[in-house]
Amino acid sequence: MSAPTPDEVSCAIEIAGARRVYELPDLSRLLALHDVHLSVAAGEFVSVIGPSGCGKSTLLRLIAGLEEPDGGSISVGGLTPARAAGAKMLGFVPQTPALLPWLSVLRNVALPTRLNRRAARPGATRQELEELLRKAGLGDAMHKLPSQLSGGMRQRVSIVRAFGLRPEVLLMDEPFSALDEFTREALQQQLLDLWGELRATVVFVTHNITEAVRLSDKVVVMAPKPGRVVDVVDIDLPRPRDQELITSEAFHDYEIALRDRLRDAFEHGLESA
Amino acid sequence: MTDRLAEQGATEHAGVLPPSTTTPSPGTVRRRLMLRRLRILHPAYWGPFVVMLLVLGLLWRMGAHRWPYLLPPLSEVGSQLTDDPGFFVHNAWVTLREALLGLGIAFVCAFVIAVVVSELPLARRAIMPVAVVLNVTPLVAIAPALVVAFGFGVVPKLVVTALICFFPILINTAVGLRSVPGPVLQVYRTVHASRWEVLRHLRAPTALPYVFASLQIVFPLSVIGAVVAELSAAGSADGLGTTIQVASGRNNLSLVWAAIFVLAIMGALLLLLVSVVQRRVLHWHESSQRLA
Repeated sequence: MSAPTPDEVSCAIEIAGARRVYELPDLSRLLALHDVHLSVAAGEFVSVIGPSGCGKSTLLRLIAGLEEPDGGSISVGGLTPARAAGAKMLGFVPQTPALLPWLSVLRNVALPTRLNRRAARPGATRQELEELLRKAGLGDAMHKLPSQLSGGMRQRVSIVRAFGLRPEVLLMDEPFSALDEFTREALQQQLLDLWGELRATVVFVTHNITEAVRLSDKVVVMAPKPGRVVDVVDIDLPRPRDQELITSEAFHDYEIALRDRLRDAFEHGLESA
Repeated sequence: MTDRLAEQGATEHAGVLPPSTTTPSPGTVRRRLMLRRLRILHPAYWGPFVVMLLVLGLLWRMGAHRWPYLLPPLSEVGSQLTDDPGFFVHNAWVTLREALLGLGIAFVCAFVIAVVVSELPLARRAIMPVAVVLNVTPLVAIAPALVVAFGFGVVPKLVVTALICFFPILINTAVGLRSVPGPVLQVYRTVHASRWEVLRHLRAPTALPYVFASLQIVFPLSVIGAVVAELSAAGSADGLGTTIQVASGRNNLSLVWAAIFVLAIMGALLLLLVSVVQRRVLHWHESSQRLA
């Protein structure tokens, strides 16, 4: 496992016995998360994988402070998620790019750094943001509107927006799931490049096995009904990870192992259904 | 054109792929864009409308000939307008001023209340039922009561116009303010953007297309409001509604129709104004984007 770099600012995430219950319109209760324990070391890249309905997005929203757990505790760098958000330590990348259609790419990326100034946390400056956009291959698109970009480019803007906050924790909710295979692979590479440079603790929700193995230090396997963690697999592959690694023997072994465990999780979900 | 074809041929011979995008020279771009703007001069653009006008004019003529007490001859209506254009300009201005002032009052009130209603659920539950009831109450019926209350001055006209414009602006703006997509709100909540920041940077711009949709409805409505108020306050001195009231009392059918034409043109011009401003302000919005 590639060791997290201790000199970086990134902070650890600690989840102990987290539980989340949703009340449905018919007043029945859905246990979305059951007794989830998870430790993410500072600077680690962790993927959360599982079939739909396993609570992986719920888990991410809890870490982001967008929802409160109904039991257990969650700490981000020693703070509650809400406080971590208040200190602008978090970067959030949703499934859709969620850009503002009336702002240029550069302004879209800059807006979060301008808000909540009380947090007094220096995000990237305008020059740094321009530099980040260029690195993400968006140099020519900087002054265009989101509607003039392709889906892959918009998602890149969304990722640069999160990195522009210089976050200690990056939370990503299936950011590449709507993209075609080629775009997806290119964006995975760019994400790894940016992460290698800026470092952050990353929680990455996905339902794609190859993506999880390629990106992560650790893959958390979840199962539905009730949503819970069934396995944590360390991915012991060297970094930086390039295109050739995907075709290597070791990579395939991890994919096969993960697929097995996911099948178990999925079948279990069907049985209890 | 010919040299571009020649270029293409050359690259094919060399076994190189042609570039995927080509831009004509700046001069060509400028000329073509100007031509695109001038296309409204082409008969295919204005022709259908002119034909329609001629048909309507013909039908009017036939109608006026058959039922002289229903429709005055168009020539008489025209001579009303040309004999004393100053009269119509003055009365149109009075009505327009009432309409726009009333609209302005409605806009400010509706916008502020829309913000309050979308931010405070308690206020929503208190205000919205009242607004709905107000909307379904026929304003034509309220207008005489307002004249009794406020007299024949400009006040009842402003109140009626403002009331008629208020509801469409309120509903559209309130819906617009709450139409920020969930993922966008999530992104900005994870940086703890304040309520004011969310309102200023996310909700208000999201509401803009909705606000403009309501303005499209409300600009012509404001003229209707002002005229209704003038008709109810018989005896008020000026305005096209008053003109119609007085002229119909004197069986001056051509003057009635002349005033109606002026009102129609005024409403259309207001609508045009909104559309032009809308296209400028909402250039980023789907409604302004051309296909291809």
